Amino acid sequence: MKPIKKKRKSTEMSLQITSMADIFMILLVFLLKNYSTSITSITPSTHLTLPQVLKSNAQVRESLKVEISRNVVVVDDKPIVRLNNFQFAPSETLHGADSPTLEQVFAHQRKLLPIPNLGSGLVVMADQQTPYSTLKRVVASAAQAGFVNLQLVVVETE
Amino acid sequence: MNVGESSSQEVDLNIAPIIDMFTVLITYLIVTASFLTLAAVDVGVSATGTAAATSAGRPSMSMLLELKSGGDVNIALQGGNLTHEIDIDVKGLPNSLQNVKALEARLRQLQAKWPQIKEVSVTADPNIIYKNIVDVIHKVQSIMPKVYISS
Repeated sequence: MKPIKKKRKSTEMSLQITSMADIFMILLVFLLKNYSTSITSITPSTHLTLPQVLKSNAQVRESLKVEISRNVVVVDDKPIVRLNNFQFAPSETLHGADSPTLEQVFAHQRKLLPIPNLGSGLVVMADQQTPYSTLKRVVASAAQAGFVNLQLVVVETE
Repeated sequence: MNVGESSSQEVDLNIAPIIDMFTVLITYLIVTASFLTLAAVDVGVSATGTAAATSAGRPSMSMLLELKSGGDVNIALQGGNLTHEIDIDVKGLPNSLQNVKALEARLRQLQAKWPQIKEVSVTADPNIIYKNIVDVIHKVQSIMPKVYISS
């Protein structure tokens, strides 16, 4: 019996990637359009749960950011005050007496503004479990330095 | 010279590098993108105290909302034509949360009666959590746009 000879195809396979490039292009345009390009990063930290509201008209504006979480108060992305389960610790400042207090940090930030008398905005990102006593303390320190227009950042739900 | 001769050679554009670049760029954008819709609630900061006097010498009418621990909300009205402070209590829900709907209805009634009230100050007991404060502020803002938080 003669062995059956299989014919070998010599055709070259080429993957059609034009459609894939089209999809990628659309995806890239969509992502770039939605990408936030602001100087102030308003992405909440992973350990921060922001309160939710049904609908809010105000947009977050570019200004100084203060973050209140369970363990720390962060001003302009720098941890300033230690909290103990949302309560101010007896030795509040992170590195003892040499570290600046919350009031000093806000006063310093106020001086850094190009027009100190006009920029009175403050973006507040607080955990939804933050008690009013802690919020009040932070807000009072900010107000003392002249930050009186607050923007409470919330997650908008449908 | 071969000028004028038509060339039948097919040119294949190599798009593999551009695909590689797109893959890297898209991965980076997806990883760093935030898909949360963030918004803001605008509030001012007010000092707790008596209302400021108007040009006529009489203090302008002011409203102060106080969130209590049990869920009750106390509405205090003073100044303007009032001879004495008016206190109204809006009872909370059984789960110690603020009854936001009842509060909204009450505020609408008060605004219809005293349309000169444009601003509200909000304060709370020390243990009231931020979520409940934001809920109340957000609801109040739909009726009276200027809301202050007491420091």
